[in-house]
Amino acid sequence: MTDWMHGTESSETIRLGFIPLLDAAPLIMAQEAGFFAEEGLDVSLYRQPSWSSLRDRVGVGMLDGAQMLGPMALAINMGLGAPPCPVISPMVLSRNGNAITARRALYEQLTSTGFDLSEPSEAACALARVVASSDEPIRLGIVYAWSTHYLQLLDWLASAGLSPGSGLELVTVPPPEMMTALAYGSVDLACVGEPWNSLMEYHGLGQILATGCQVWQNAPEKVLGVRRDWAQANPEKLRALMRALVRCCRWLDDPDNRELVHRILVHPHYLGSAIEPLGDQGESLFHPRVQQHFFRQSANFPWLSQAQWLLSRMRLRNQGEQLLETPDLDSIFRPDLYRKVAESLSLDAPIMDYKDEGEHRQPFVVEGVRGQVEVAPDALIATAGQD
Amino acid sequence: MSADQSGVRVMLVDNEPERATMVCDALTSEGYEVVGQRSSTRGLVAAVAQEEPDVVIIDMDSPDRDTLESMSALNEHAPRPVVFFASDDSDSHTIQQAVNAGVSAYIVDGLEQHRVKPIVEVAVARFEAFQSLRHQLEETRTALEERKDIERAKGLVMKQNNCSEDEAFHSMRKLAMDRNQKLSEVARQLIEVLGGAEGAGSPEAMDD
Repeated sequence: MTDWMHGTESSETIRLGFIPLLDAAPLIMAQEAGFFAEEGLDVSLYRQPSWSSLRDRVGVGMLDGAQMLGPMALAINMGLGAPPCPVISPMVLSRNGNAITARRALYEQLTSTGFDLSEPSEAACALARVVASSDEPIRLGIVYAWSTHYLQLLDWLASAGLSPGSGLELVTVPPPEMMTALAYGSVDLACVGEPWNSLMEYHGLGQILATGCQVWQNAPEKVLGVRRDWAQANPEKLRALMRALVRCCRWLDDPDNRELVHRILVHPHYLGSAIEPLGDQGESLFHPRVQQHFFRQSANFPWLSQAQWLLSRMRLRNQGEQLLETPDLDSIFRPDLYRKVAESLSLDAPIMDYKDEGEHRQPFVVEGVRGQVEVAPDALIATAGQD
Repeated sequence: MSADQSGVRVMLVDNEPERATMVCDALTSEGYEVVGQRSSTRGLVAAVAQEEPDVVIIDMDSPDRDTLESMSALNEHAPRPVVFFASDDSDSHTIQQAVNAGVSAYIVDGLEQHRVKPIVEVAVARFEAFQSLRHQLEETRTALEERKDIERAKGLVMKQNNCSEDEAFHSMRKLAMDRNQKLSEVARQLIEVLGGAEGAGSPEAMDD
């Protein structure tokens, strides 16, 4: 799939990149279950070995767009780590999907502290206790700095007054190698996207300690990012692409389709045989604690308030703080484009672009274009003295 | 190459040993010091700390690029992606060429742009040369295999139809033209039909 020489593409083909994670399902299933074809689209999917490669290929125009991490959609516009490339994010592809998994030995130490590990901030306090009494630093495995996972991990640590450096060492490991790193103890705690947490649990290597959802409820995990010049040259195609993806996301939320999703994702072109165990023994492909979802409760709506939130967290973690200008967020996240596509599918969408992030512990209702729209909760973990 | 290139330390990370050798030789002959040429990125973080390269050239498809980039976000002295921010058009062209060729480059301690660019260009040229070499090899291999298939199919048709080599070749060529297929494709189909089951029929029997 990463062969750029196969020559079957025409100028009509939309070239999209993805990373082999469970939340690549919207792109993969839109291709395999025929949603792209039904919209008359010719799409080629290219699996990318790293977020850096994905970004660079979008940056030079080898890809028209890709599945992107929420923070990456901002970083690529701001020119963090690579030449700036104007990219728009007209929809969110998935919500939640990350977790923090503790190596078995560490998990046992955490349990013995007596803290209630089901509460994420208590679990972080348990970690603080273990760090204080440990001679060796605890190693935290992360996959990429400009990611939701990384920002969530730091907020989770901050909830117990922890930060990397003081007895905690950050180690970066690519997702497919995280399992090995945890197995051999080069990482004690892994913060990674699915399916890797589920697989580490399945193989008995570790235990999910907290989920991304417990840190930032229903955060925009992966977004559709397309080059702005491509979007401007192909407005009809972009709408058709978004229609196919929204319809696919709705289809993905239906548990009846999960078996087929597993059968497709296990293909070596996509996630490969590593995910085979997740389909066995009636286990769900999507871990119940992670609450990964694709459509329900306005999941696809690209809230500008969430772009602001991501930017504020990136800045708090010294990402892009050297840039003087605030990026023009409403030229990146594009709820206006999403609303038009929702309209054409007879779906409702919120009329406002902003909501009070972190203020909703329960699902709530906002005014929609047609009527009222349900929105998922958005509670945020309380961080000690950092805001 | 100007003398100011000596003392510039380049770390090369490439799991294609032949290509790595090509790049290494080219850089060395330009006066660069190639340190810790590595076939895989395992232990890369430690290697960067130990070897203190000025530039890291890494295969774009190495999954460990994210590791390198995260190092730079977390640690001031870690490698940073080479970014030619200058307005110069040839710089954006260099980046595009590098991505197309599959080269990515990182600088460690702020080596000036005019010193980095020739290194990237050397790597890009060798990556491209390697790519075209590999294509040529593949083409040669395919051509050889096709010729073998055609020879084998011809023999099968001769035996089947009890005809001369020339006649067998002509009937195959006619079949290929009638079907608008390549001769090698027809040959492969004939091998499938005739090769397994002797006496299964003449080439014409394959027509729908």
